[in-house]
Amino acid sequence: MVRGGSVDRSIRRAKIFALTKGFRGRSKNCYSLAIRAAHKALQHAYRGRKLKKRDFRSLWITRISNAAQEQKMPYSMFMHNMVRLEVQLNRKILSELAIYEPRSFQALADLARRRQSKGLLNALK
Amino acid sequence: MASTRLTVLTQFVKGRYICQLQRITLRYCNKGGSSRGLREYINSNAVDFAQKNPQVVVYVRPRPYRHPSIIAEFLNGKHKAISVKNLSRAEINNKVEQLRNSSGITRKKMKRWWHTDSPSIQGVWTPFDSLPYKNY
Repeated sequence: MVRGGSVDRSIRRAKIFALTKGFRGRSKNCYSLAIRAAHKALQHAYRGRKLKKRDFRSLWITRISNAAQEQKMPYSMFMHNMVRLEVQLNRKILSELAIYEPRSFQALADLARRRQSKGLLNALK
Repeated sequence: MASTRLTVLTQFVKGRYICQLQRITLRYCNKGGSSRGLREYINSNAVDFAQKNPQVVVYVRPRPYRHPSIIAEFLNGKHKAISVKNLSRAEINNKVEQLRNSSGITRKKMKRWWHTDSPSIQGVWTPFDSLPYKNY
């Protein structure tokens, strides 16, 4: 039979159940299952915060790479020349320019191309 | 990109400030101990609040044998009920001022802390931008 527990126990468990809202099946309502699910969820959240930074950067790079390819240059050449020209725009902004201000991005690509040819000429001298 | 939550909030900044609180109902019990603060508030501060804020309609409802609460109704139709059980007069004053200053928008985590009506000036990218030959 189910006996009433102490007040402290319910308060302690309520904190876990607050974390398991929306979980599937008994993991949201049964304490033994819920603590395991809650701890795993917290671990996933910890890891996810670090992965999010990586994922967004790789998304931005993919977008810049595609936009640069449209301007007939590889991503590596584009970014290398941005660095050489000391353009302080980061990948996030460059990807947003590529989407919302394509002409500006085209101008940056032309800039990168000119810097690339100048660098080539300097190397040949 | 534009954020819909912030679009609603910017409405208040655009023109003249309008107090978003429409009605406030103070529900108290004549005898209960938890209502003491609210009773004191009604006797002292409620009239001042009503006079200072003519745009807000203040209702006072006695509700016997129940804990006291305040219900706020906003111009966008949202209701907000807060329990003022065992709060002091000063705390209730703070709560009422808080309601007076708030909009009726439900609190929610901001996804984007900026808003723009014109996300793109040059026009959003289309696949046809960089094609060499226009045959469409």
